[in-house]
Amino acid sequence: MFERSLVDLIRGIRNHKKNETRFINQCINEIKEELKGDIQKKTVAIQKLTYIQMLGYDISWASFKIVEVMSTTKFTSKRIGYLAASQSFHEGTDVIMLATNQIRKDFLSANQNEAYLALNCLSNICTPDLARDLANDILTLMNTQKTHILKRAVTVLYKIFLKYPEALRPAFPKLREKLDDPEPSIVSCSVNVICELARRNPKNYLPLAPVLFRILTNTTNNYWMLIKIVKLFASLTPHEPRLAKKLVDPLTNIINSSPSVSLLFECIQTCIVGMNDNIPLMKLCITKLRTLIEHNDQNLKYLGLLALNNIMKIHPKAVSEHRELVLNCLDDQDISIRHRALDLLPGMTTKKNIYDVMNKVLEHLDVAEGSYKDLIILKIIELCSMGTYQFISDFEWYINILVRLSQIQETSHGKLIASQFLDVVIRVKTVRAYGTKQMIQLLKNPKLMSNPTANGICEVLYAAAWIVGEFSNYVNQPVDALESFLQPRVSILPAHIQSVYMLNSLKVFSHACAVANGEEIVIEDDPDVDTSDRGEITQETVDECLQVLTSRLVIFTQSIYLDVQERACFVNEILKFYTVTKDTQGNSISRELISLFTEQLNPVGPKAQKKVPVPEGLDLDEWINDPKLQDPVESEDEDDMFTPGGNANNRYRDSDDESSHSGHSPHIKSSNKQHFTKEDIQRQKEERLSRQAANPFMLGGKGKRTTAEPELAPVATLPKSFGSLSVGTPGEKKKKAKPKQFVIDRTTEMPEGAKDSDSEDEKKFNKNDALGQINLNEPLTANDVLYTNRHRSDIIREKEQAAAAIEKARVQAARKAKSEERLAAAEKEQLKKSAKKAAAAAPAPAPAPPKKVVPVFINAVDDENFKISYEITKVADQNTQLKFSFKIQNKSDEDMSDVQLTVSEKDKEEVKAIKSSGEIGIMEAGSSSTHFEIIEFTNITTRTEITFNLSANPSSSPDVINTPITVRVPFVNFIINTKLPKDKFAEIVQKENMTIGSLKIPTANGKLNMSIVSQKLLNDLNINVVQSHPSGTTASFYALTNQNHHIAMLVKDRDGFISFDIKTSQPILLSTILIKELQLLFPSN
Amino acid sequence: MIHFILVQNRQGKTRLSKWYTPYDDIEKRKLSHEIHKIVNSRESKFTNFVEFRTHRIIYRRYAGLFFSMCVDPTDNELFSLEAIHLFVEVLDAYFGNVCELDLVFNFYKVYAIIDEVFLAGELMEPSKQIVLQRMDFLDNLP
Repeated sequence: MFERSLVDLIRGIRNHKKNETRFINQCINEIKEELKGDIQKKTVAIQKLTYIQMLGYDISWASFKIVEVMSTTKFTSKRIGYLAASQSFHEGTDVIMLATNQIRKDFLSANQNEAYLALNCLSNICTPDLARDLANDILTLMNTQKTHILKRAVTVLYKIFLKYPEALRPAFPKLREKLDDPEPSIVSCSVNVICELARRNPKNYLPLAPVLFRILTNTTNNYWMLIKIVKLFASLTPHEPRLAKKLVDPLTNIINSSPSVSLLFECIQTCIVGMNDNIPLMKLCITKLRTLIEHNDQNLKYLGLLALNNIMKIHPKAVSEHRELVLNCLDDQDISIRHRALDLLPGMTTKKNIYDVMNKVLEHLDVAEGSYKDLIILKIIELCSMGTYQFISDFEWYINILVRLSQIQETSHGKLIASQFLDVVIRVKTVRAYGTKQMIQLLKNPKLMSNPTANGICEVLYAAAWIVGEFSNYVNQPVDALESFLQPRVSILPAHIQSVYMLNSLKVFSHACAVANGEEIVIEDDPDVDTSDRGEITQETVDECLQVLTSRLVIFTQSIYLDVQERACFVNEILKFYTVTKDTQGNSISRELISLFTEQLNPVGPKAQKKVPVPEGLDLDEWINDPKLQDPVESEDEDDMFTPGGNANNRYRDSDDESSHSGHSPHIKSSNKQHFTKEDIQRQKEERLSRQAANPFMLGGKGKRTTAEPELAPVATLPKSFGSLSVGTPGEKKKKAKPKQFVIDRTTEMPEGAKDSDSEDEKKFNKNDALGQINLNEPLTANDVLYTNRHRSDIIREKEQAAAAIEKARVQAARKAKSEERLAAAEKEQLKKSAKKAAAAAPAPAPAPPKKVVPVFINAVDDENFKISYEITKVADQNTQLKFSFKIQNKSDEDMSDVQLTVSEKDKEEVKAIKSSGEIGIMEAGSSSTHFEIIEFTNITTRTEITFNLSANPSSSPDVINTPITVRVPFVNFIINTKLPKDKFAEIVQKENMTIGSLKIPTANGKLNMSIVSQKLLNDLNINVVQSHPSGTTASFYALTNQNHHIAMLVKDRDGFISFDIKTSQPILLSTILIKELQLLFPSN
Repeated sequence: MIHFILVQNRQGKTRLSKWYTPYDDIEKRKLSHEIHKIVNSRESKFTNFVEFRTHRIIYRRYAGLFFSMCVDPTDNELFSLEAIHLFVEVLDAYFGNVCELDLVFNFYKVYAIIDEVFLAGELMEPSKQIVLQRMDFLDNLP
């Protein structure tokens, strides 16, 4: 039996190019057989499968066999198994569980090459389970000396952190340690990992800044690592301004001198992120970027533009001087470069040059194709509408641009262009006349209707129809307009556009009627209206209009779109009503008609709907009616099926709110009632109301809908009263002043009570990013341990040991309690109770733990010559001796010789200098030195301070400088920590001949209480509690000095005072020291 | 970090695929297909960077082979491009004037090399010499 070798397989596949799949399936069948054979056959089979897998075939069925091959002992076989596993295992592979143990075994194997394979594999197939189970083993592996293993272990740590973020805290110290590794490649790997980690939560890694800074300044030739370090600093600098200052020099250096462009680019990026307030540095960056953009290499050009774009976001005007350069890039043949160049345009456009820039961009529009064309359209609109049209001074020009954009057939930005039309015409009153004329042209353009698709260019017609209708006072030939409204081909347009057509044809007609009947129509906002032809609209014109309408509306009243049909019928009914009543009522009916549409319209903020405040007491989540009782028809109606796009960001916004419906709804109701009197009126009403609520095209109190505007629009509160809009005066004089002044209405409507803040838009913290949420700056706690997976028997054994230890402690404690019991027979009862407690909690604390002395250097002298600080420590085993350590700094600008520190003359008699570090000798200017003295205090009762003398001989003068150093010696240094049993205490107090003193300190409204007092006495004076009354208001204290003086205190918390009754066996001690110390400890301010 | 490295020929046949971010098989196939379509359609004068979904593809063509790397948008594009070149140099030195067939018949060695240069989506060893030494050592193991 001959099996195919790997080479045979590969050749075979190459020879069966035409029926590769069949050949491979045949091979897979063979391999399935081979996998049943011995390990050697299996190995070859698995290797072949790996190749087949690479070609895109499924080999997950062989996972178990792969694990088998992984666990062989032979390196070459193992390697094949591991490769197959790395390539084909993923999170869903069930045998990964089996692989866990194999990987751990190989990690700990004596053969480093097995660990190498296991690490490679783990880096590819790491799952959360594997990460949790193996994190600890990786840390163990990081103790290795082998560089190539260590490199891998460090890098794989990143994968572990990604999959099992809990590992970060316990494992981080080890990773941090590797930054100091002497082997550069290890440092480099650690930097890589930290760089990735820092992107998620930079604050954690700020403490590493000094180390990283050192690496940055000490590395010269490893550009790979330098890039990562510089990138890492880009994450850190925004959180630490001081770091940014420090980085300016090294980065400037690299930018000026580095031969590596990739490093240069990285430095520039970091400067942009972290040091963008440093203007000279930014200028340097821009200069460098210019050379990149001018470079022949397309890649550099692209990156240069990309970085320039980043600068533009911060300093919008900084890049404007490179306008020509960027505009030239628009001609580049590579689309990605053109993209980047387009992105830069907003930064270099001004009021003056927008026409030039636009001309250039429009040139490109003609030759552009596909998505690039769309991008250009997007950019044109973005550029022009920026800052609510801040660059545009001629809006007729902008309308022309938009009209030009409307000629583009294949675009997906129809809605965007439409919303621009609406926005411009609403905001800029002076352009309405011009806009309306252009819109009529658009309505007549057959191309726009040729291939209607949702969001296609036909959407422009929506805007056009609305504008013509809304501003029909500028329409001089209503018949013409109506004819274009009601062309038969309109019926192929999307439903929402047709609906708008219907309603706006009525608006045009109403205006024509009004004008023909000589209604007073005042155009309050625009005196420049071209009304010269207005006289032509006569009663005949109206009749003509009426005829056009009635004859052409028919097809729409039968429209398959309910909304269109409804509107067409509505218009039809109004017209019927008009024809019936016009003869009898004459003018009044046209007045009625026009009054339907005379409400002023304002732009509505894009977020207005969202910001309607919820009235107090209204719970939106609560059912208003029981859902089961609701009519299914109603719920269907609730779907906003007529809203284009139907989402919250819809550009066509509805200004109707529920309350405003009341205005005109009776009107509609009455017209409907005539037709459906036999129907169930009540149900009709409900249905209608719900439809009105859901339907954005329904006539509401304000009569019409308003439109959206660009996101940049400022927010204004809703005006309390709406001024009524009156329509055109016939015969008003035309006076067109040049240049035309365009006033932009920048306000938008917002609901009353809307909050100004945009908090809802703030970037939300990514809650899924568990790794980013871990704080490394908190100290490790007992919970921060890595999961260790051990054998069951080990765990059981450990549990038993732990139980045994607890038992032992309990026995000991009980025994101790018993011994104390014997000692203090008098307090038998009480001790028994406490012994029980002690046994449960911890061994009885008979000897008090020695107090930890934290070394703190205290400033003693700081003059023009010296800065001296000192620290007092106890000398072990010598109760009467103290060690005084000094730090001395020569602050003067001359050298000192014969520097000596001794106990001052006056104190020499009372204390005894036991030992010192000798003469200090010469101290150079600015240098520092340390010195210590060990002093024995023979009489502690008067010594609350000790004076030393520092003598020095400055080089410039013969006079010796003497600096006295007075050091306060806290009394606590002379107290020996003693824990005294109660009975002994009583004995001492009775036996000894003691002096009594007392002190009262106000508790300052309970700020001072017994527990604070006892805590302070223990911490600061080393005085222990002997007994505390259960009420917590009285306690006795005891201390012993190093010269065997007893100090006993009874402290009471009573009537707003803490009273200390003190007894000592040394009267001077009490009067001179103890009272002072207590007053210092509890300052009664 | 690098999300994946692909080596494909002009016909779109995968010669090497290393995935550092877990994708399932269907997605891997789809990605390979898309990447090939993107890089194969680009002219030689174009940049070596393509924006791809939320990431960036850095690719480079050597003879009939496309070496593509999918990286985070925050990564340094030139760094990735140089890393690709480093990898190709190592291949060239190891096989001695490497060609597509070398990669096809020794695909497992190519994977070994890639594991020496990159690991867990990071460039691990930028020294060509060290990589070659390691490969030499591994090849001589029993």
